[in-house]
Amino acid sequence: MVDSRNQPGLSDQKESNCMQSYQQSYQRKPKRKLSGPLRFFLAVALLAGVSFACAWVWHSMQETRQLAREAEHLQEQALNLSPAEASQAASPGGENQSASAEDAAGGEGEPFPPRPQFTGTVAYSEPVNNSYFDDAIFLGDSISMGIPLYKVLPGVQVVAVAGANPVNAASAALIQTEEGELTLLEAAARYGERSKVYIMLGANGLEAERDEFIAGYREFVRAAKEQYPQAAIYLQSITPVTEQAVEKYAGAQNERIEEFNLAIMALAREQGVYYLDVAAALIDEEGALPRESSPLDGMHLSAECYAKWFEYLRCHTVQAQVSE
Amino acid sequence: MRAAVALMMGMLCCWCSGCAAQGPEIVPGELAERLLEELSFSDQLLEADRELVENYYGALDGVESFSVWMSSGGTVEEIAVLRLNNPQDLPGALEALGRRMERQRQTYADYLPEELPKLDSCVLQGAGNLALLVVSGDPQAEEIVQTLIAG
Repeated sequence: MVDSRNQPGLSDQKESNCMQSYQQSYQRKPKRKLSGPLRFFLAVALLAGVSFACAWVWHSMQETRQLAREAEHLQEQALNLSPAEASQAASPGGENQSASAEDAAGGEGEPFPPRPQFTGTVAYSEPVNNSYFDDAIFLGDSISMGIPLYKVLPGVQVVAVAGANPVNAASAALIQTEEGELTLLEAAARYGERSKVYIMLGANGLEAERDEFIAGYREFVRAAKEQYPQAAIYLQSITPVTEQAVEKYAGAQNERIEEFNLAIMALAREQGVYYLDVAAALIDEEGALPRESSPLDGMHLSAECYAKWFEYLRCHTVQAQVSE
Repeated sequence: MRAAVALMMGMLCCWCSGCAAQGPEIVPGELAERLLEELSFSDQLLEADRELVENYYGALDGVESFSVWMSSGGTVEEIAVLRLNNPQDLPGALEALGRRMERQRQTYADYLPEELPKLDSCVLQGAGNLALLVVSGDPQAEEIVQTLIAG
C-alpha cells in the first residue's frame, strides 16, 4: 500500500481524500485482525498446540517411568540369576526374537509397544471380553486342569495333566487318549490352529535344579513356537503356595517359586514370548497364597483364585496393547 | 494289554448284584449327591460337563444320563454315575471306567503316589443299566454305595 500523504503537489481536496482514505484504511485494519473466524481459528490452534504439548510431556513421563521399572526388573534379575543369564535377559534378543514377536503381532511388521524385550511382564490393558479366549488354548498341569472344572471360561480349550512339569512336558507322552499316549503339544494339535497359547508349568518341577528346569521349559517353548508360529504365546508364572504346601510338594516354597518365576520371565524374553505375572493376582501382603485359597494342600487353588487368575488374564493381553 | 488289565481291575472291583431292577429308578445326579454327602472326601469335588467327561472316559455313546464329579488335580477322588440306554452296554461302560482308573494310576504313580491306595480301594460296580465308580479313600465306601443303590 502507498501512503499518499507524503506525495508532493497534491491539492487540498486530494489531501482531504487521502486523509479520509487513510482513516478508512486505519479503521479497517483492526477489523481484519479481530475478525470472528480468524479469532476462532487462532483459539483452536492455540488449544490444539497446548493439548499436544501436554500429551507429549505426559507420554515422555510415562516412558521414563517404564524405563525405570525396566531397570528395576533387570536389577532384580541380576541379583537372582547367574551373570550369564542376567546378561542374556537384558539383551535385546536378536533377530529371531524380534521376528517371533512380529509374527505374534500378526505379521504386520510393527512390534508391540511393550515388547517382551523391554518389559518383564505384559502390562495392564483394557479388559477384554471372553470371546478373546475363543481361539486360545491353555497348556499345563493340574492347576490348569481346574479351568474347565471350575467352569471359569466355558468352552475354552485346555490340555492339562496332573504331574506335568517343564522337564518332561516337551517329550513325555503324558496325555492318555483313545488314540494313544500323546505329549501335551500333540494333544493340543487336535484342536487345530490357535492364536493364543497360555502355558503354565513349574509347580511340579520345583525340586529340580533350576538349569534343568529352564532347559526343559525352553525346549517346550521352542516346540510350542514351532507348532503355533503365528500365535501370541504367554508363559504364566507359577502360582504361589501356602506355607503348608511344602509338606506335600517338594520345593513348594514361595521364595523358590519367585526365583523360578524370574527365570521363566527371562526365558520369555529370550524366546520372544510374553510373561504373565499371574502370581501377583493371588498373593497376599506377605507374598504368599492365603491359606483359605487352598485348603486342600496349599497348592491347588479355590474357585475364587481361578476367578482372580482369569480377571488378571483379561486385563493383561497383548492384542489390547496393539490397539492402543 | 492295558485294556486287559483295566478289565481285570474292573472285575476285581466290580460287584454285580441282583438289583438290576433298581437301575431305572436311580437318577445319576441324585445318587452322586447322596454319595457326596455320605462319603468322606478330602478334596472338594467339582461336577464335570460332557466334554470333560468324554475327554477322560471316552465317548459317552449309549449313556442316557450321567453325573461325574472330579478333583481339580490334587487328589484322585472321583464319582461317576452312568445310566445306560441298554443294560447290554454295561460291560463296555465298566471297562471304560476301569481304563480311567488305570490311567490315573499311571499318572499319579510319580506325581502323588500317596494317592494310589484310594485307587486300589475304588468301588467300581455295575447293576442293570447303571455303572458306578467311587474313588474316595473312605473305608466305608463300598458299604455305603450298596446301601444307596439298594435304596
